[in-house]
Amino acid sequence: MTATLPRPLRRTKAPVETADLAHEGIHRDPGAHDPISTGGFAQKLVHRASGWLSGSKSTRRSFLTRTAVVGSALAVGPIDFILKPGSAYGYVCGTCSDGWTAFCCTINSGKNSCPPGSFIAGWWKADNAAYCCGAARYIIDCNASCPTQCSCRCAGGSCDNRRTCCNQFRYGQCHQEISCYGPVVCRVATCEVPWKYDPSCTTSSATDNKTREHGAPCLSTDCGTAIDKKYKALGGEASDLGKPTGAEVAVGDGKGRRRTYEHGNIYWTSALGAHEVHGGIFDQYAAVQGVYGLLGYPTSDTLTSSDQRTRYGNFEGGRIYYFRNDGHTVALTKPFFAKHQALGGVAGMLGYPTSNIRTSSDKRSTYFNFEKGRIYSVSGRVVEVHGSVYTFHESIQGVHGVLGYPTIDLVAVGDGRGKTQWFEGGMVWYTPTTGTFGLWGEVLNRYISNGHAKGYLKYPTSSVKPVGDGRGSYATFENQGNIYATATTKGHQVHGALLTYYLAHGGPTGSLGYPTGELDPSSQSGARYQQFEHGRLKYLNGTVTPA
Amino acid sequence: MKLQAHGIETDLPPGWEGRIALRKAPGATAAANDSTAARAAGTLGEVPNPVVHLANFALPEDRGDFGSGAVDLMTEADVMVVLFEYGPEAVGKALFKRKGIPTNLTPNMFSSSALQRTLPGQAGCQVFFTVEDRAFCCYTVLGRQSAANRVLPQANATLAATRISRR
Repeated sequence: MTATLPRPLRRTKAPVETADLAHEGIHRDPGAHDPISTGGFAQKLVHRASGWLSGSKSTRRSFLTRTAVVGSALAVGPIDFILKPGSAYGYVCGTCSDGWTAFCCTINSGKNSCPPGSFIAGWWKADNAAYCCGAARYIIDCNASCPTQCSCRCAGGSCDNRRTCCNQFRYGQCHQEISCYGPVVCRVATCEVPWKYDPSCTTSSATDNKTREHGAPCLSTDCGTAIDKKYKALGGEASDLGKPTGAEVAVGDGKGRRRTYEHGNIYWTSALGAHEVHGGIFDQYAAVQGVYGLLGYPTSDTLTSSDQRTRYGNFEGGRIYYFRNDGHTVALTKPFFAKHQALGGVAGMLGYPTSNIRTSSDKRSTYFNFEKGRIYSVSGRVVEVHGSVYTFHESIQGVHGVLGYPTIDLVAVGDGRGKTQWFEGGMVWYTPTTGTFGLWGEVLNRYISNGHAKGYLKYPTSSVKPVGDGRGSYATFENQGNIYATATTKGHQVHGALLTYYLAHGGPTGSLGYPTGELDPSSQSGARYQQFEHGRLKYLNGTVTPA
Repeated sequence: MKLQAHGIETDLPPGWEGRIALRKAPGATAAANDSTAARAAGTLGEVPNPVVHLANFALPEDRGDFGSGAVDLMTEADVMVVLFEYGPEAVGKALFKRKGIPTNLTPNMFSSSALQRTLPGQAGCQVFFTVEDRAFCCYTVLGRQSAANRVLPQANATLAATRISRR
């Protein structure tokens, strides 16, 4: 059925305002008369009606008193009316007095579109509109084409009793190639952006939030499913998701639903609500089996990191990062994600992840690389290595070297200076002044039994290194001391003047060989002794002599 | 009082006040590709342009671009001028054929129907024009149509004191 322009209550006589002011930039139809000063009976009735309802001075209370719209309000939109009582005046019924034009669905056989004889002439938006599920609502004016036969009247609908053909106003963003325009016949209300609704419209936006809740019974406030609402709130087709490519369906796991779009999906569960996943993040999500994989359902829409380096989406089982500089993505999954977050996330000691999950060549672990370290999941433990400890660990073959896998995170020694980290095969010690060194085997055993960093030696200044004789190894320490070890002698500390003497006489490959015991406690004479494989040294009053 | 912003400047007569505003583009405060950014105001892709509101009465803070919220407050001697800019694609289109800011508005240009929202007694006039390769609508609202002869000289003087420069 084709709708036609609404008929006036009574045909008016020839229009009075005939001056063509187009040369002045005034393009309203010169044949359209002034409905107040020169209009006929019908137009005057319109304004009488305006007066009856007190026009702009009417309060909501007085309006409700004089009209029986409350019942209509509850019938049309009970939830909104109850929750937002301030909206009843505008939302429920437009009146001929409120100065606005009726919605097209009121006068166009229920169709929310411009009727024949009119053209899309401009648009405005109202933000945060309940009609569009919290997104922007767009009102598109259908102005009568010139020359118009449309005359001012009340629309006369059961509820949206606003005017039609009364307002010779043009927003002007659409069909700018048409200069002459008649009055606004009606208004199209849509959640779709006007430049997609009609390609003649430009993107130049005009805003009038006071019209946010204008409504009519023929306009639906049903925002659809949670997925529909999310899609609309994101901007519909103008969003990053693009157009729908399939219907909303159950995921099939008994938990969720999803809908597919050109560039991503929206997922919904009753526990998590609806969230979108799109672009590179969606591709990565799909690559790790989507809802069926470790990540599970999304728990957020796409977000942007505060440092602007990445976009990311949160999921039940982790997070996907999209790096804006080159478009690569990383899916950081449980339990690595929780560990990373506990360590300060991307702003913490590890920085951003730089790889997706990997399996070590010994098949014992899985791990993620980060800008400043690594997190391993091994033997039921999730442990991190970072900074100079990570660099050192990697320099000695990492998990395949003497230290093997870390068994705890890096911890403070408790002396206000250094840190240490246990590994399966030893320990790494670090201070800003001494550096990062590893100890293991009998050297480490002796270091621990002698009080480690809190003992005489303080922090190591070398890692364990071979003596070069095919037998022993040793490490040097901060406080003029070394620990020497062989399989037969075990590890022993030599320090101070004894170390100076020992080294001056060839050290472990000299005449004394390896130490076989610690420096004795002081005797009654004050002398102290240390036993070596091939001799004994005596320390008394700062002097070292063979004993 | 002088106002100047976005390549538009004007010198307001005594008793007048004005604003030259540019709404934030959707997503302007967040990453351009952040889908969540479209929620706060409008939809990604919208392009707000400068809007000038000039009036001889106190402008409320909350106003629609074409004066909604302000015109409701107008009394008999009040007049409001809106300069609403369009994007560069509008330049050269038939609607914007007129050149230059209108500075000689006359009562016969006004109509009680030429209003975004028709309110009893008020009258409006829309002039679409191009100046310095920028397309505008000059929308003028009179608090009372019968006061046109009295208030239009003020509006014309204000428009004559308005300069728009090329962007």
